[in-house]
Formats: sequence, structure tokens, C-alpha cells
Amino acid sequence: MRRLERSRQEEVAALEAFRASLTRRDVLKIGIGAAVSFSVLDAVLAACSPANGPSTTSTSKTPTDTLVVAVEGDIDTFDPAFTVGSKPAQTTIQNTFDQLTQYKHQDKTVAGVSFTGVDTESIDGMLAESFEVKGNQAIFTLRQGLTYQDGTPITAQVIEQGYKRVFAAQGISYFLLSMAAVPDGNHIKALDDRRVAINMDAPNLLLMKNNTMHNTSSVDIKDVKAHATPTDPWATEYFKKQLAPGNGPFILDEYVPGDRIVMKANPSYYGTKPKLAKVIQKIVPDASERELLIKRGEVDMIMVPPVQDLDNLKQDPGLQVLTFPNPRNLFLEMNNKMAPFDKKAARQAVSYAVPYDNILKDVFHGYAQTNRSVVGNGMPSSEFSYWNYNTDLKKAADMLASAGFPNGQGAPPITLTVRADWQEAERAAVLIQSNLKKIGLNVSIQKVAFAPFNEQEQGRKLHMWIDEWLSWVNDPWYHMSWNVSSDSPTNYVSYSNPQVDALVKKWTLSLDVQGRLQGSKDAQKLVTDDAPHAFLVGPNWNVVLRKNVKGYVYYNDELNRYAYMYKS
Amino acid sequence: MGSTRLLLYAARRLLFIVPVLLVALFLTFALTRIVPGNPIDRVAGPYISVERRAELKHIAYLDRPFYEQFVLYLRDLSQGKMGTSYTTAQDVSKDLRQRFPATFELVTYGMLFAVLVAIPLGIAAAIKKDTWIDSVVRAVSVLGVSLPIFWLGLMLLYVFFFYLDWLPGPVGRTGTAVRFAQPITGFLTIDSLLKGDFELFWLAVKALVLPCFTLGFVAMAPVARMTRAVMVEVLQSDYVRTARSLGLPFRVVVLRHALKNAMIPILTIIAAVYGYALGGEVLVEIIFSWPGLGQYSYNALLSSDFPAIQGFVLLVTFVYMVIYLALDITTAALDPRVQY
Amino acid sequence: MAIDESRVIVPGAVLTAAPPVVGRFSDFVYQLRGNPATFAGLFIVAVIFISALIGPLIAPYDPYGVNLGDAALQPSLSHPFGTDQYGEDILTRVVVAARLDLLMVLSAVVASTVIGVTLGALAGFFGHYFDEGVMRSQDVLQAFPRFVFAMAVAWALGPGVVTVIVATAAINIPGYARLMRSLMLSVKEAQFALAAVAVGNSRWRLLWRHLLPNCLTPIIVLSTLQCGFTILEAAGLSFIGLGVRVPQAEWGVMIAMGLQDFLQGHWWIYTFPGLAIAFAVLGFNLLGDGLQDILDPKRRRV
Repeated sequence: MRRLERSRQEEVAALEAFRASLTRRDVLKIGIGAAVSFSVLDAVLAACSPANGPSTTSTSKTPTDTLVVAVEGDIDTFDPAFTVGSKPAQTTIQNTFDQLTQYKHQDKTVAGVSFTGVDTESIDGMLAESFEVKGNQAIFTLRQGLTYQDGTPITAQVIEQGYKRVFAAQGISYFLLSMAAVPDGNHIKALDDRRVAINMDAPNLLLMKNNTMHNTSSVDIKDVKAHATPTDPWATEYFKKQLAPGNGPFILDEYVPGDRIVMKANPSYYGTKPKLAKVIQKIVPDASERELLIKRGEVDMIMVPPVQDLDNLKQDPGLQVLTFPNPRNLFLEMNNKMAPFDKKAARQAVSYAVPYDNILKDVFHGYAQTNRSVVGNGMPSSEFSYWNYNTDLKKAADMLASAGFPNGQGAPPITLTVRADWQEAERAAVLIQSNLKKIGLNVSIQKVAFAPFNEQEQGRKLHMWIDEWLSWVNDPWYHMSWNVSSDSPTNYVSYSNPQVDALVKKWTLSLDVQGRLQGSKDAQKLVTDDAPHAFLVGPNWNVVLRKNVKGYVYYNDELNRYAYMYKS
Repeated sequence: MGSTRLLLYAARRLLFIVPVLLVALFLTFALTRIVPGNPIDRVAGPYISVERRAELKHIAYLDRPFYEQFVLYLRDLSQGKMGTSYTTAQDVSKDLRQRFPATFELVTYGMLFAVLVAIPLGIAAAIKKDTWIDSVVRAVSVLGVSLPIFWLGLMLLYVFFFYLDWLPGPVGRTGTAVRFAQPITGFLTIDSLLKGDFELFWLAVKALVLPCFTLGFVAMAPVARMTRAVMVEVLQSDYVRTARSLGLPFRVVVLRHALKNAMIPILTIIAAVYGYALGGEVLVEIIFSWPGLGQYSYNALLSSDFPAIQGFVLLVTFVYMVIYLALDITTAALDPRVQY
Repeated sequence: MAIDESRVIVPGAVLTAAPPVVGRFSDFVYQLRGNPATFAGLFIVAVIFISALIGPLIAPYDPYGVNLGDAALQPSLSHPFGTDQYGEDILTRVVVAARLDLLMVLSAVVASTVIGVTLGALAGFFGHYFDEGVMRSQDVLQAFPRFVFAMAVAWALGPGVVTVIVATAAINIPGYARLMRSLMLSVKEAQFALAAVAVGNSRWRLLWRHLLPNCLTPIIVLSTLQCGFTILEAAGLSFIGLGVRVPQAEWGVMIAMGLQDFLQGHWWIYTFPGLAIAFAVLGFNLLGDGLQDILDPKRRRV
């Protein structure tokens, strides 16, 4: 009852308030004055707009033995068997867990850019001091005296259990092994205390490469057992938000969800001790904010900087901008099972309509390579000569008509989905939308956050979308098994061509090096003609560092290895 | 006045909150079910076996009918558990507790600023009715009600951060990357002083200026208008004129008599504005990258994180209702006409 | 009408008294002349309406004309408000956006007025359980902070123009319902109402032909003011991506696009749409305040 009273009073009061009206000329004058002064202020601001905004500083505010990195997202899971989405999570795992083997460093030059990267054809032992591949079996001999950071010895049995967990936990990581003809945990056997064997169903070139990724890192079975529950025997729930004790150059010191991930150097690391004492990864989801932080000297390094500001950042004497060309694909994906994209001619029409030059120059400002095939430049056997979808609106319109949609009539409205925080994708989408409108296709842009975007993509519910793919193994058949094979779980466009499937089957596990390269070219010809997606561009991997930060090595998985970095 | 009667009244009103809260919760629950999408897929990933997927569904109650899920949610709620967030993988109540201080500090200072500025301004305008002071106050008020709060924040950022570089940019509560404070009260301004860390205090204050002013300016406007309107009426009322004709000094008249009678509508509008501020601060937190509840709710909405959305709406609604409860009780205490 | 209505007291409301001495329109103009702020409000609202109607027809550029060669140009003679990051002319887009925003706002206000007034009128008129039921439901709706509720509704329905209309209408309904109910409760007991019943009017006729028209004025005032607040809420929803989608020409969306380029100093991309919003809301606020003055006999100019 009182609520009625109050609300009536509230009504009265509110109406009384509205009576405090402006009935005087002075107020009108002030009102007009305010409006005018606003525009005057803007004109004044226009006249003296600063060129570069907030002041930059060349002095860093962080201590020399600590590296402060602004990362783009939070941890989705600390479990090596499950990692797929968050690069900061993967980076943390990569720095706290070592693998059996790893690539060797190599100085290289790609597309005119020189940097320290890795040679994906030459592998060194990491946890293993030596290894041997004979026929169907790869045998790894562990170093003496290895321990996890809590002192537990690392034996071959522990490694075997670790691999078994990768299969049993049913995350994504076991695919890396199953595609290399290691289909289950029984194929991993500890031969004795120091030697582990991985048995392949068929000898192939992929296993050793797949095995260098953090995904197959072994979690100590003792920790698994300590946190297992009856419904969750492999402790997957626990390791989602807790990092298991690792054996890498760094130890997780502190994790505050949504705020920071702090690592410190592992005093009992068996290998070369890191020069840094501490690494603070501050979670800053907004790219502009990360840029602000490094300009002010608050952080030493930022991940995923805004591409449109890289030229500006290069001018800053206190900063260095590193850009790494790589075989990454940025795809304009079209759902091959939804109209109008179930018709090849319609997909080709879209391919002719995309403004490739604009995307390369105005969206990526040159920090990208052209991409003309599903196998990008930098991956062996990449072949661009089959592609001729140069931007040609007339040809696009003709193709669209031949698909049965003259001037777009009869074509359903198209939803183009992009990830919400990805400015470059959004910009490219607007350009594409504008061109498609010119040939009569009605496209509306939808921005979806990371998690639901992945869900919809994996559920094959999207109509048209922009996504990128970088294969961590620089092998064309590894790449194509994920992208164009009709039974691949990540073939989200549902592309299906039996000839391509036959080629994938034939060459993926083959040992015939030359045959594989030639077969890849044949496959690319088919794929380019089918146009299951349009190849927009090959974006570079960009990192911005303060001038005094050294030692960045570009690995194919693009995860930071802090053990090699230091500040001068 | 009978303070026991007042307490009983307060207790009755408090009880009244519960059914409304329940229905509000039910509404939010229902809203989340309209949204398409299967949260399990997002949590577990698409490569798990059918059995494990069914298991996860069972743990999250998603295989039960709707009303059963609601009852289970209420049961968990009574134990302080609000469900596990899909994005942070911890209990939503923990998420909310972590982010509450940032928002609370921002809204408190913002509303304090608004009220401390609005009431004197309103009184001054009422007393000096139809002079230039009155006109300025009314112009500023109507401006404050007309400006979009997120745009005001952007403009202030541009002028004071980008152009003049006097204040920090949208980089969180300390305007800097690496300043970790162990919370005592949760208010950075208070905690830093308690620990004698003046540098942190100054950083916190500088970071608070723009967001609090943005929120405060927009909140101030309706309060100033209402204060002025009510004071005008009160000053013209019979008993005030009687008091003045009896020779009481103007200041006494204003402060003791007029203000007291003007209090109720003013408090009413402050409560209403607080409700507005609870919504407006979401926009402010987004603009200023403030690590509070507003940003949390925004991310939750974008990621379709149902438990987080439910938890946030529940918390905010509860706070809003408590504010109104406080208003009702104060009104009851002050207004002799109200029976309780 | 011969009944002496000047003795009826309705909280904050207005009852048109004896037949006007002068024509309604010239009286209206007379009131306006003494009330320059209201005149300003009317003027501003008229400007917005006119932009909405003819703006898209006379605009010099295509509001969706992506032209990267002209991206992010500062305001100049050929582009008085500059261009955004896609090269689209901002002045054109601001003017074209008036149409979309106005459409959404008017739809939302009309919808919430009709629904809210109906609910409140019925509640006040019939009373008892119906009254309790309606008012409790309004309590629940009002338990949420306005914008949070709008966000939740908009999220559930997915982005789009219809969503904005539904979300902003939903949060406005309780205001009308309560107001109408208060008015109805008072007016019900008024002398002219009793007289109408005495003469033999049926309940529905009483409600529709006698009571409702006398409650109109506060409703009109509230509606006008609600237009302003709804613009702010619609723009807010679109700004955070729950309303109209990028790159449509809508004021909130344009501010969001401007935010993307904030660090590059392209202030004009978000400044002008914001000014447009402030301008529009200011107009509705001034107009609403002024209407209250004009239509309230106690405050009229005589």
C-alpha cells in the first residue's frame, strides 16, 4: 500500500519538477549560447587538433628484470589438452611446460622482412636429450634428472600417462596425434624409466612436427589423481582454472582472473635459465588501450596492436614495431550448404566482387600479404597462379546471373558475421558489403562476441563470416586436412569435393616428398576453382615492443617464448 | 514517531521485496531462455564425446524442464552460489564480489558529486528566482538531462586526456598498467590513504575524475531541477511566509523549515536518479574501461554468459530495491501524513 | 459544457475549462510568444521532423557511399561535418539518421503510451483485483533499473530496429500506467463524471468519452518528454551494439564508430552525432516543459 502512496507522490513530484520550466528569455539566450559555443569550441579544436594525441614517452616505467606485456584476452583454460581459443592461455602453458622436442632457431627473411624464427624442418631435443624415428616408431630418450617444478621426477612412465590423458580427456589436442596415425593412448609406451616410444599406424612426416606443440605437454599424473573426482577422473574441471605444476623455464606466480597472469623464472629449470626474473601479462582486451599503455611506457610489449596505428607507432623513437609475414589465411567464409552459396557460380561471383586492394591497403595498411590460395605464401607448395578473381564487378554480376540470381533477384538476404572485437574484420566487412550491394546482394553485418561466435561457427550455423586460420605446422597437407577435407571437424563451410578428399587421403601420411608437393598443387587448383571461400588477404603477425626489449623469436604458433627475451 | 513501529514498517517493507525480487529473477531467467544457442557447446568445446556432453548438461541442470531449473537455481542461491560463469569459469557470486568495489566507488563518488552540487544549486536558484543565477542553473539542468551520457564521457576524454593530457586515459582505476593494490575497503581512494601510499591515492583520484564527473553531471540535472521546483513551492507556501513575517532570519527559515519539507520529493528524485545511475554507469564503465560490474555485464551480454547475466541483474535489482526501501522508510519517518 | 469544472482538482493535470474565448490556435500562438523556450523546443522538434522527412531526399551524398579515398577527412566546406573512416559524409548520415531515430522513438512512445494508458485506465477505473494485479506487475517491471532492463530485453531479442522499439517501449509502460491510474482515480470522482453517470451513460461510454479526454494533457506532456529520453536510450543500446547494427546511419551507431578512431584524434566522427542527439532531446524537453505550462490554466499567460 505504501508503495502506492509513494508512487503517487512520485508522480506529483515528477510533474512538479517538469514545471520548473524555462520561460525566460535569458534561458533561451543561454541555451542558444550553449549551442553556439559548442560549435565554436569544435571549430577551435578543429583548427588546433594535435597531430598525434597524447604525448609519447621514450622512458619506460618498468624494472629491467621484469617484462610487462599487455595481452588481448583472458585464460579460457589452463589445460594443455583443451587449449584452442585464448593465445594468452596458450602462451602461459608454453612457457611453463616443455615438450619432448622443439624446433631450432633460424634467422630468415620473408617478403623482405628479416627476423629470428624457427626452421620447421629441423628439430632438437627439449625434454628428450635424443630421439630416433625408425619406421613406425619414434623413440625419445629423456634427459637425466628432470623434475617438475615441485620436485617430482619426470620419468618415461609419467610422460606416457601424460599422453594417455590427452586422449582420455577428450579435448581438442588429441587430434594432433590422431591425424599423425596415433589414434589412441595405447600407442604410447614407456620402454623403461627414460625411454618413451610413440607408435604410428603408418609412418608419416607429421608426427614429429605435431609433437612440438604445447598441446601434447604432459601433466603429472600425480596432480591429476589429486584433483580427480568421480564424475571427472581426468580432473578437467580443476585444470581449467588452475595451472598444473610444469617443467618449463617459468612458473605461474599469480593469476587474477580478468586482470593479470604473472610468471616468475623457474629456479630449478634444467635448460638455459631465462634472463628475466618476472613476466607480468596484463589482460587488456581493448586494442586502443593496449596502444595507450605502451605509448606511455607503462608496458614493454603489446600483443595484437591496432593495425591502423602501426605506422604512427613506428614514428615513436621509443618503440619498435615487429611485423611477421606468415602463411595465415583471412577467409571470407561462405556456408556451402546455405543458399545462395550452395551454387559454385554464386561463390565465384562473390570472389569477383571482393575489393582485395582496398582490404590490403586501407584495412591492413600493407601489414599483410596478398593471399591467392588456400595454401598461403610461406607454406611449401603455395601456388597462386590458378587464381584470377581480380576485383571486377561486371564479371561478378555476370557470374551471379549465371547462378540464377540476375542482379541479385531471388537471392536471400545475407548475414555477414564478424567477431566483435576485431576491428580489421569489421572494416573489411563494411567494404565487402558495399561492393556486394552493387551487384544486388543485400548483406547485413552482425558482430558477435568471441565465445558465441565460435559456437555458431562450429555449429555450422553462420551464413557468411570472416575468420582466419594459421596452421601451426607448416605443412600443406596438415593445413588442407583441417580446411578442405570434407570430414574435417573444422571445415566449417562444409566444403565437399570427392577429388580433393581423395588427394588428402593419398598424400597426408605419405613419405613421398615430391609427390606431396605436386599433389598439393593439384588440390589447390580444384579448391581455387570451387571457391568455397574467398581469400581476402594474409595478415601479418604484429608485435609492438619498447626499443630496449630484445630476443623475440617468431615461432609458427606465434606464442611468446619469454625465456629468450631480455631488456637492455 | 514510535521507533518500534518504524522498525516494524521497515521489516514489512523488507519482506515485500522478496516476492518482487523472485518475479524479477524469474523474468530474467525466462529472458535467457529466449536467446538461441547451446551454452554447453561453448563451455566444453565441440570435440567431446556424446556421453561427456550429456554429463556436462546434467551437471548444469540443462536437461531438466524450465521450472525445475529455476527452483534449482533458487536453491543454489540460498547457499550463496549463483552458477558458474561461462567466461570466467568461477562462481558468479565471486565474479560480482571482485568487481563490485570498482563500481561502488565510481557510483558513490558520482552520486555524491551530483547531490552535493545539485541541492545547493537548486536552493540558490529557488531563492534567487528569476535572476541570472536561476537561469544558469536551469540551463545547465536541461542540458544535463539532454546529453547522452556516453557521448559526454567521450567528449571529456577527448578534451582532458587526448588534447590537454591532464588526466589519464581509459586505462582502469589507477590510470596505469602495473599498480596492484590489496583491497581493504575496496575503495582505492580510502585504501591507499590507510596504507599511506599517497602516490596510489593521487593516481586513483586522477582516474576517478572524468568518469565520476560524467555520471555526476547527468545525475545532477534532474535533482537540481526538482530541488529548485520544490523549494520554489515551499518558499511560497503559507507557513514559510508566516515564519518570515514573524521575523525569523532567512537562513533559519530556509534550512530548518523549508528544506525539511522539501526533503521528501528531493529524496524521491535522488532514489530515481540512483536507479538511472545504475544503468548509466554501465555505459560509463564501457567508455572508461573501468573494471567494474558494468563492464562485466556488458561482456556477459556479448558472450551470452547466462549465469553472469542473471547474477548481475539480480544484484543490481536488489540494490535498487534496497535504495527504494531506504527511501520509503525515510519518507515514512519524515512525513507525518504517511501512516505506518 | 455547463458543468463547473474549475473546482475539480487533479494532481498536476489540466482540465480544459469553459469554451475558449478566442480560437484555439491563436491562443496557442499567444502562449508561445510569451514562452520563448517552448518556442525554441517546438522549433527544434520541427527541424528534426523536417530532416527526417526530406533529409534523405536532399542530402548531397549517399549515406552508405563507402569511399576510402575520402576516409576520415576533417570538417571542411565540402564536408561540413567531415567524413568517417569509410569515407561516408557525416552530415548526410546525421540527417538521414534523424529519420531512423525518429521512427524508432515515435513507434516506441506510441506503443508504450497506448499500452500503458490502457492498463492504467482500466486499473483505475475498475479497481479491486484488477487494479492490484496491474499495479503489482508494474512494480515488477519498475524493479529493474531502466537501462539494465532495456539491455536485457535487447540482448534476448537480438540486435535490430524492432528490438530497440520493443525494449524502450517496455521500460516506459509503467510510467504511463501509474500516471493514468492516478488521474483516473481522481477524475472518476469528479463532478462532471458523476453527472455523466447520473444522466445514464454506460460505464464504457463514461470511460471513453468523458474520463479519458480529461486525462489527456498530462499524458501528452509525458509522451513528449518520453520522446527525449527514448532517443537517449535507443542511442545507448545501439552504441553498445545491442540495437541497430553497424554501419547503419543511426546516431548511437555513429558514435560507436567514432570511438574506434578515438586515438587517432578523429573527433568529428563521434562529436556531431552526439550533438544531434543532444539537440533533439533538448528540443523535446523544452517542448514538453512548455506544453505543461501552456496547457495548465494555473500557469497560463493571461
